[in-house]
Amino acid sequence: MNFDALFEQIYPSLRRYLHRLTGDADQADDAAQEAFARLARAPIPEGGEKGWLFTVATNLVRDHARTTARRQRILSAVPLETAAPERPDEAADRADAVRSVRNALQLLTPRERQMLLMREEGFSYREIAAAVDVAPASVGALTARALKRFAAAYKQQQGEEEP
Amino acid sequence: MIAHVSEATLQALLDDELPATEQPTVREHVAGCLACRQEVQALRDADALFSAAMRRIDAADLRRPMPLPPRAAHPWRAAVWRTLPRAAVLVLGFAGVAAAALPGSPVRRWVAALAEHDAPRASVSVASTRPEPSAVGGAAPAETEPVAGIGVLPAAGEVRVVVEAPAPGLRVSVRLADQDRVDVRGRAAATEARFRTAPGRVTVMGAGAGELEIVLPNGVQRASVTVGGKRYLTKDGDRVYLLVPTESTGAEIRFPEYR
Repeated sequence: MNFDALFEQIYPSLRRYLHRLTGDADQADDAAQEAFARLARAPIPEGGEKGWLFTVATNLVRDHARTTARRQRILSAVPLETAAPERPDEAADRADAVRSVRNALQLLTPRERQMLLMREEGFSYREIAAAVDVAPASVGALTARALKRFAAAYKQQQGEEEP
Repeated sequence: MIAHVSEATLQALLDDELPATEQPTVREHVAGCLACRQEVQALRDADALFSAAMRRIDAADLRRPMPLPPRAAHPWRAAVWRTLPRAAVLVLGFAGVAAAALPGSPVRRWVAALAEHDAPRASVSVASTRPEPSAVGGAAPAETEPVAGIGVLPAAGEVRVVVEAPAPGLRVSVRLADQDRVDVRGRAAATEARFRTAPGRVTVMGAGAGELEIVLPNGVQRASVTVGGKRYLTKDGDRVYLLVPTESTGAEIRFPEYR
């Protein structure tokens, strides 16, 4: 498959995975494009590109978080204008829902997050095992445990959000 | 009768990862075991909840057009592209020297005229070397102050300025102006900066401890300024959010020295 076709096929999935992983559209863009740029500079054997790209992009995100000690995004920064406008109810509800999801995701280990998000993008157990450096036979157990932990955390978050 | 099926095996069954030889036995057990059927349902519910939660995150994502793919590596093509600029410079250089050597040639007169001027040193492109009035006050810069800069148009209503590896002491300022493009200008030691551009994006690399002025279009829908991996400013519609402390927020937003 040629590079452009590979890009069209994999980029949306990679970008979505990175946004889910980081919650940051800019960082997701940067990491996805950098991963493809690296693939363009150093092509790898055909068939392994998707796993390679996801691994490289995940490492980029991890390195970025480590070296820059990234601040938690200030979503409630004071605007320049003195009068704060009222936010529509729908936007507030959506922000609350996303916050619940992100808080629940943060309660998982980085490996659990990566496994669940790669599984959502259609990776096989063998590919996930290679990416997170576990035995393929362990992926089922780790996945089941992570899903249940997420579900419990998310339900608790939603329970705390309710008035 | 076999023991209950493990959680790991049930998950593998649901994910279609269980070896084909094991599936009939497991399915038969699940069909006849309430506890295992309940476990399967719990795993399905957790999976559905996770997928739905991920869609909520997706719904909050910014809708951006898909970028163009980076240029794929073709060894022979890369070699040609590396060689062509050098060859062109050599050819033009020889032609220029030859033309300048001819008495009365326009090239000779042009070279002579240049040698008489004390032209200011400037790095690149868009910005002129005229002194800019200072919005904060103080003396206007000298007539020959070097300036390096670049400008790009927004893409899909968005523009991003990313300053990578800034030097300690770099001062960044941002102002809004009625113009179509974003301009990034470096002064003093910041003229050492190199610029990389993409649609709607300027990356500034290696800016020294000088001043970096960023001019954002008033009408751009979304904009961001990131310095050393830290988001300084976000513009969303007509609202501007300052995410780090500032020294002034008048016509020009001045951020403290980068540390």
